[in-house]
Amino acid sequence: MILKESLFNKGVFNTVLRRFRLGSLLYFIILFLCVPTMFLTRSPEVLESRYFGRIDIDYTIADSALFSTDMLILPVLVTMLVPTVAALLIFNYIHSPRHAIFTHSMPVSRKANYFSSLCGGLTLMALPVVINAIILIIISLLGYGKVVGLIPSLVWMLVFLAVIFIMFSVATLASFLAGNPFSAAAINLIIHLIPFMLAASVSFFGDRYLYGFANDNEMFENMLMGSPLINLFTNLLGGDVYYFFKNMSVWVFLVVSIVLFVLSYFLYKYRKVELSGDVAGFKIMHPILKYTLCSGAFILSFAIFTSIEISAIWYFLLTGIITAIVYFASEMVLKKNLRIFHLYKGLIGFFAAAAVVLSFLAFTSVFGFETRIPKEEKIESVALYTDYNDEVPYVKDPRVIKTATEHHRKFIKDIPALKKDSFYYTEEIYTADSLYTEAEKPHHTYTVMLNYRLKSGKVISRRYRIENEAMYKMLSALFESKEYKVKKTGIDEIIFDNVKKLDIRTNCGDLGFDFTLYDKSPEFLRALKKDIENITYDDYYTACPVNIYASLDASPEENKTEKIFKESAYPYHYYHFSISINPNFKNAYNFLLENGYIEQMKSHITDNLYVSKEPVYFKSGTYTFNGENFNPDSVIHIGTEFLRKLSPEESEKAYEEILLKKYNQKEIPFSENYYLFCANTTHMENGTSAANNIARFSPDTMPEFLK
Amino acid sequence: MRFMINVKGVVKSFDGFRALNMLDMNVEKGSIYGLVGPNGAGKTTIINHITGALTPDSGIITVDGESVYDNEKIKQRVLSIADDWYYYGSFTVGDMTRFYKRIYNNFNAERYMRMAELFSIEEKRQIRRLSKGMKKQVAFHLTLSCMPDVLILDEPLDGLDPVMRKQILNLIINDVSERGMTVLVSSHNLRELEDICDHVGIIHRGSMIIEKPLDDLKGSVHKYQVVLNGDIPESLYKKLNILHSSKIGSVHNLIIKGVPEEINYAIKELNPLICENISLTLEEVFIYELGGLGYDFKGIIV
Repeated sequence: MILKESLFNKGVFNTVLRRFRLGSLLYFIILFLCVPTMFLTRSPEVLESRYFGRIDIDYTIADSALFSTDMLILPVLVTMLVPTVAALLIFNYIHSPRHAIFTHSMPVSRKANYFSSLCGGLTLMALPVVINAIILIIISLLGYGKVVGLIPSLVWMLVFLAVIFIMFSVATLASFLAGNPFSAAAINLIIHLIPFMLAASVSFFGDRYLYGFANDNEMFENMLMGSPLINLFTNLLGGDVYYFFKNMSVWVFLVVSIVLFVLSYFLYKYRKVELSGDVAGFKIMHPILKYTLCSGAFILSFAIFTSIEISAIWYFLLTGIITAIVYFASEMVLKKNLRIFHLYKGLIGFFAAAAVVLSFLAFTSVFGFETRIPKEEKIESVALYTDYNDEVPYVKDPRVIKTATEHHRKFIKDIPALKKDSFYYTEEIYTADSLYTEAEKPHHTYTVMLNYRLKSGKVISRRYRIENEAMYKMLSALFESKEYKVKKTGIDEIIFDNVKKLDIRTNCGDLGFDFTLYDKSPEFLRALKKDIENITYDDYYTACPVNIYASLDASPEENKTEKIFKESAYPYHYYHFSISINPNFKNAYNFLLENGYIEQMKSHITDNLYVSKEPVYFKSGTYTFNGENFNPDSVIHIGTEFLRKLSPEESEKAYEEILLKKYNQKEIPFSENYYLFCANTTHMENGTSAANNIARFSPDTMPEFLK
Repeated sequence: MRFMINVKGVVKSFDGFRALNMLDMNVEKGSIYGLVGPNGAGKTTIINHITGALTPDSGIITVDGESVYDNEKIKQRVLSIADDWYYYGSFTVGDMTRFYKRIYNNFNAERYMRMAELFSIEEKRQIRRLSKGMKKQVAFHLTLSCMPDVLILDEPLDGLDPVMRKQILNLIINDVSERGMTVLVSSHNLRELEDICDHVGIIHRGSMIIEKPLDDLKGSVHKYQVVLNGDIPESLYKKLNILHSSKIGSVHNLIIKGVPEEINYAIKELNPLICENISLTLEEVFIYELGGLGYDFKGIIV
């Protein structure tokens, strides 16, 4: 019976159920095989052991094998696909011309037809999930409570219903925007990928052409997470599914889904039946689709052709040709006619608009990336990131803010909005053991990222490639701020008195020596903090990068249950502390010296240090020493052979000088040979010695305290 | 006079092509209206408008005084059978019957059962596996069971055998006479229409050329076979609206539009040796009417 003027038509609803019941059954079977069957075919103990690693531990309510990745992956993938297919099938009455005429001749209003079909579709998809959830609850009651769980089963059901609802809303919108099932599938995919494509385009073009553009900010992630597909996939397979509904974005998507369903209804209400079978469901979409495709083709081809080394004429020409092909192809598809070349004026218009936009970008500073430096009085704090891996939280020290803005001004001086060097943008890494002389060093640039947090709460991010000298000057200036140094190292995040164990390590290549400070850890840390507060940039980074490492781990097993890091440290991942100490850290170094640790290190390493007189070559995986080849796999053998031939009479310093002299005379090419060897030896019973480790150094990487 | 179906000044364009051009059409209640026209004239388009599937760009379409578009109430009374009748691919005859039962309030199960004896198609059979003629039978079976007040048929009898054609036509005529059902039928089979229609509308290039009771239409165009002593004088062409003339031997075949008395008088003035008025079929009327509008019919009819 028809409920007149009703939102719901039982006839349509039942017909949808009847037509697609087999699809629903198939979905049920897939879920059943992927989830309940997995439990039923194994004992609870096996499952506990498999999913939780240990038996008889106290589980939280969130611990359920239902939320393990292998239980989720296939059901999630299928559940994301099912609503798309369902929408295409259920709303076929707007895509097939015959079906459209038939349906719209029936005594069912569009409103009732739409909502009844929608309810039918949702019911068909929801039933398999609900029935499987009931089965899971029964399984839980049959002794699988620990691995499945009643509440997790309900959460599982709600999560999957939410995914269905969200994905179905997008697919429904796509169906009502499209004229035929193929374009509906394409539009559906486009809706899901638009945030990704936008994020990727903004990132690619910004990074490539806009000087100062910083893409590693929240904007990119937010744009990406705007895609329901990516967001749900990330949340379900990368997050804690039990707390799925604690994620604000899920609620936003659910609300947006309702909006999309309502929007789809209005699209349907004003849709003309005669457009069934066309690419687009609305005439107004023709230019939108056409120019969207043209823009996509233009941007993509422009990106590709500007990435390869061809002249500007060629990449403009090739971009133009591809855009024209896409334009006319779109016209052919939309007009269902091959004779569309008389419509060239639209293409000319597009090229004119593209030229205007490109000129606008090239000759104006509309984006402001190159010029917009916030006023100092508006800046609350600043964070700087550099190639040196200086991840520094926001620093409020006015000196740091001043330094940042002053250097920012220098970075942007005389730099156009569009990067000139984008096509030959290479990043050369400065290696610590390089034997380059200053004169021979290649032209180095470094990345610096400036994040200003304004007093208004807004964050402005800029990223630049700057010269070595500029980087040096900026960091030297920043080192005048205690707050900067303390935050840079993270030492202020440590609760010194709670530290009961601190590792000190020194290493010479593969040859290492560790010892641990226990009760004296807080004293050492205080000395270290004092050094950090007062150290200069030059002293902090000495020419000798390998020295003593002090490291602190926040794992409960290492430091029991007491917190050793402040809460504020966690957002910045400072739950592990590590620092390289050189003799310029006078207080810390003296602490180690006075307590006999330095002597321990020296004696341990120098006892086992041997220096070769002749260069040892290492090339293509083989060591060559005095004309003999050694297999690097048989380290002990090599070590033994070396030990026989090494001559320890000469001091390291003297030998270093010889090597440098040789190097400067161009006798030895870099990267194929090493000169200093350390061997941690084991004396064998037969009187010979074998090397446990072989360390190779170039002279300038010799540990400072061993010199 | 209030018409069951009223179409007034309807215009509809598809991609710039004007399929309906200020079309007017009036179908009286309880009549069988034959809609004829050449291919692409706009017959199916206007039918889709009357069933409420399409909306006009401009103009008015009403059924029993009410707009039909998105009007559940009126659509309950208007049923149509298209040449390529649509059904759900996976449905059996029984499934489709249940669907019609749920959708149409007036579905008459008793009548359905009675007609089942006539059509005798098993309910369990899948419709897509039936022949074209059997699908048509299912369509008529279901549609007539819904007791429509307005039945719209587009090429209704294609694929049906002569016996079934006759039986279905009888069912339709019974409904017209007993229930006052209004029928709009579009077909190229003019001889068949001639047997059942009482009104005819000829549509050409989206416009209605002629809309008349069939008898009036046939009475307005006449075929004369005349033998004269010589050719037909020019004066006769001026006096009469001669749609077509041809000569075989000494016999002139004239298709003349007008009142028979006036035509007889004008021909008699020429003292013909033979003058005979032969009645035209609907097909001939259709062809000559369209011929007057430039539709090429040369050689179709002698």
